[in-house]
Amino acid sequence: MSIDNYEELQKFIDLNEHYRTYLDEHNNTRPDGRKFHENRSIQILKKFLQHSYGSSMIRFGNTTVICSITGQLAKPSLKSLRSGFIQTVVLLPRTQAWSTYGRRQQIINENLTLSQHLLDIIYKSKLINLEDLCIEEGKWVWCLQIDFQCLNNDGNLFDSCLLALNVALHHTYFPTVKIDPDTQKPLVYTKELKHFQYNQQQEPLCCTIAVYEYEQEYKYLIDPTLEEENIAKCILHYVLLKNDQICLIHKTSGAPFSIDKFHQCYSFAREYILELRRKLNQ
Amino acid sequence: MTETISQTNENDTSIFSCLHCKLSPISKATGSATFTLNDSLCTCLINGPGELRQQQDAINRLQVDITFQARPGNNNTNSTSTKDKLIEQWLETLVRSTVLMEYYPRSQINIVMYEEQNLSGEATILACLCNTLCLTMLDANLPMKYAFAAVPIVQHPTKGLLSLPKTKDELASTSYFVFVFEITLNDILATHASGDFDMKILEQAISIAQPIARQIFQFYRQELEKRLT
Repeated sequence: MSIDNYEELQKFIDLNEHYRTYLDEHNNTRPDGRKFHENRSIQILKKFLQHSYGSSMIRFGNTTVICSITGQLAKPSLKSLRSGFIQTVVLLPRTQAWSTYGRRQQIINENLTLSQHLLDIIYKSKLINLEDLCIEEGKWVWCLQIDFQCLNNDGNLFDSCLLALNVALHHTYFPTVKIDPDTQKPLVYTKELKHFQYNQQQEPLCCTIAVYEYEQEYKYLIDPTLEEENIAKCILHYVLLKNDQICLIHKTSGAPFSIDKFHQCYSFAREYILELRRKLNQ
Repeated sequence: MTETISQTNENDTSIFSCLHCKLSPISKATGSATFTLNDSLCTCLINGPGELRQQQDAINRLQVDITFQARPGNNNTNSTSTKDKLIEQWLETLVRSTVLMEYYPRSQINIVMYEEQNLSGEATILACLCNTLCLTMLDANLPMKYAFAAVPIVQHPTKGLLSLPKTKDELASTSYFVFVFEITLNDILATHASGDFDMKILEQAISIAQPIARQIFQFYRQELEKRLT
């Protein structure tokens, strides 16, 4: 990280001070030129990995996330003979470990919390029904492995991972599996692909809001970058479904909120997610 | 689905029948507490500001290290699952925002939380952990900006919104909310809400939870008074 000019030096020493001086000079814009409610440019790439059943790459400004969906055959657990398994794994780049964060354990923790959030959303919003993953009851089920590789972390991983998941699921094709009646072994026909059935009605999308305190009031920074996440007092995640029902609200501690602030953030989240859906359906 | 606010025969005493607490069960630690909320029981202990082990990290603030250990045996492995890590990270932000970190530069506190029993779902255990954490910090005499209390609320398909739900109700519910209130203005410090709901239900849930939080603060006061007399 170069600290050649005065600005970089100030950022390195005290990020908070740098933000405050920037907001003092330019009213209502963040250092990367956006207004508080603007999001970064989004780029979507579909179906570009040849070995996965479904894949997508999402870019929110500098944050790049690749989602890849693969499946493995497994025997179902005795508790529920018809349901398959879903496993979400988020991998953050180890190359960023020493320069920006300073502590590798923190990154590993962030991976795990994000993985758990995504799994919770899949279950709670009934995006993928575990019964759909069944091939033959009691014998073979699909174990869905959803991997998120983050190539560059510039903040707002939650939104990008969830959008990547939606895009990837849209274009996932599974090979057909038939059970050989003689040997009871599964035969996988890799050329006969069929579209993965999932609950397309729900499209959980997330809005991350970083709350920053400036001049005694809260500024809501939508789609925060990594620096903004570090200086934020608290971070809010709103996950909304297609019919504007809320699937998940996760607020970390730091800035006490009253009910009207939740309403305010909800309205921001709705507009933002509306735009994301438009992008998704293009 | 009925969305009525259910005033389930709640007078002051019945709230206190769901809560039990024991301060300083572990004498060797700087502070510790055991807290029961309905059917969930948690213990937490703090080892007070001590020497910082790692060289990196904030030199002008306190370093907080939280470990959460769920009940071994629920999942087949011994290691902490991702769900536990999520809880740990959430609680860490809670500690970071309440403790006056500037008072202890170059020091570290270690917080260990044990979930001893959890028969109901996620809402009760989360709330139980938050309350245990607050009581432990009060017991350890850490300088805090405010005390906080967590209230679990679930949305039952037939009974509507229930606060401090019993095990049977919680296992049958579709969505849950956990609000952490702070004592000064009764504002919401942190939330974790999951399920399928909209803002009206959230508002109702918050309005049910606020008076209950006040009663939990009263409970803290009672417990601490018992200890000091």
